[in-house]
Amino acid sequence: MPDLYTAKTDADKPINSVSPTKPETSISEKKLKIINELPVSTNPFSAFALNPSGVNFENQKNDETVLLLLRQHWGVNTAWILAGILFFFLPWLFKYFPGYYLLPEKYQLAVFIGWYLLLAAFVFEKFLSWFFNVGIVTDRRVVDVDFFGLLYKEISDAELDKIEDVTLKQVGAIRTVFDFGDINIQTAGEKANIEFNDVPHPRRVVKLLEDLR
Amino acid sequence: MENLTNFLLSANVWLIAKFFVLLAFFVYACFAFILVRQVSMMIEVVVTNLGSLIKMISIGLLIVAIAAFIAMILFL
Repeated sequence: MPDLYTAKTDADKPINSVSPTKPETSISEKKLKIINELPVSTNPFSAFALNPSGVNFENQKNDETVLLLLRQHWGVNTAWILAGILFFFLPWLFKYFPGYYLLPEKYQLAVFIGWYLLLAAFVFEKFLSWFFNVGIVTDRRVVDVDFFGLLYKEISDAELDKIEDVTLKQVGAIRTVFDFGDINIQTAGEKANIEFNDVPHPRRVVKLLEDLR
Repeated sequence: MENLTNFLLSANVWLIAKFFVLLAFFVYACFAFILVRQVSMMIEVVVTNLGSLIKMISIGLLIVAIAAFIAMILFL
């Protein structure tokens, strides 16, 4: 009676088969390959800058390379940009306010100047908040830089090999159409999770993190 | 109490308005100064090619704020 199943023996293995245990050096070679394949981004306003030129951060190690710089998607800025444009033209409507012409001319001028100073501060503050609240992926770790208010900063980081889980959240039609979402990076130990909110191309970020881990 | 009421009634309304306008411009100048400090801190944490330009804008805003405050003292 013929055998229904025959277990493979060592003799069946191909001669040039690769051992399943990878050598330690292959990880860094893999990273090096990823780094070399990344295109260089030169746009300083990019919300998704691969291999950004001229970008460094506090506490960066000498041999550490920034692979990805993330900011919130441009769409997030739409509200304050539109508000800024609206507020810019609003003084033209001042003449329709009955109380405005009761003021002496020099006080009208003071209101006018004060309005544009406030507008400049509003726009500049919003821009700073967008420009400097960044997420950074290097060849060693993930860094989240957050600024709250005027003089408060929070920098959290996690080594790539300490990352346990990466969760992507992309909810709603606008986020799906414009391809942006939230990424939650869970780390081992007591360190708080790292969150990148409203970042563009979240699937590419997750893919890069998976490749680097 | 009567003296205070008389003082308030006799006070020039535009003098009070000038005080509040100057106070507002002074507060704005202080805010602009803090903004310069904030930008200095930010460009140290995240170094980019635009760091010096952003710092110059913040200093420009501070200069304009101080100039506006001085102008209000002189012209109001």
